Amino acid sequence: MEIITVCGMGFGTSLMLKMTVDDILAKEGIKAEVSALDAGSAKGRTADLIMASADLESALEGVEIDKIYIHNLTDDDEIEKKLLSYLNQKE
Amino acid sequence: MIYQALSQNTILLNESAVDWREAAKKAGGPLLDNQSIKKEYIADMIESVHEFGPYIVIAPGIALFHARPEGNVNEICLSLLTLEKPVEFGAGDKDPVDLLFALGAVDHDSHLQLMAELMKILKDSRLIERIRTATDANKVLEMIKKKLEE
Repeated sequence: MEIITVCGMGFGTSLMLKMTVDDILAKEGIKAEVSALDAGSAKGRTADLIMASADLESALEGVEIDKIYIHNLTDDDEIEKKLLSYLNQKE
Repeated sequence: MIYQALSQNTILLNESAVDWREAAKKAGGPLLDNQSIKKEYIADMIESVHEFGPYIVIAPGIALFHARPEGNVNEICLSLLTLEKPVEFGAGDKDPVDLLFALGAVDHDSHLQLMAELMKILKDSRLIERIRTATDANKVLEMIKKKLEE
């Protein structure tokens, strides 16, 4: 599974999100490749899932990849709940 | 890492700013003074909010200014600013914002450790509350150091 975390520049909030997502996946024993990218590069990429701040919704419009939008990037619970519910649904 | 970036000079507490743009200039000020960034970088931090919207408001009341380095960042750097009166970013229920950081990175991932440490601090809501109301930069440094030693 390939997940990309996205922010405007590709090294700020996307990196924060990647670190949290990596932790959750490790804890759950789920294998996935997580990379942090800027919104522009994310548009040309293939992946199974995009995770980004809710404020980037319009910037990612038209990208045909499943997306999870996060409201509070420091809230581990929100990120974990949304990610795990998505993964459970996929199974 | 974060403890090296933040110092008495890069922590500004209980400052005033009329809007988020002025807050960006305030937050970038000490990084300009210590020559970690060029002044163009502050303009770029403001421009990136215009370009992508208020997504730099990462949590309720907390913003992380940053921009593409474009040769305007001399070294990895971070500043911390708290505001006496919070400012609005148009970030919905994450507004208003009274704790702001300005981050300068030189490439895609050499600031990874700094970000990991910053996350550790941001996820401790009690610590964040104490930083918000702090008036002494040395106390803030102590709190951060203690947290990272946990």
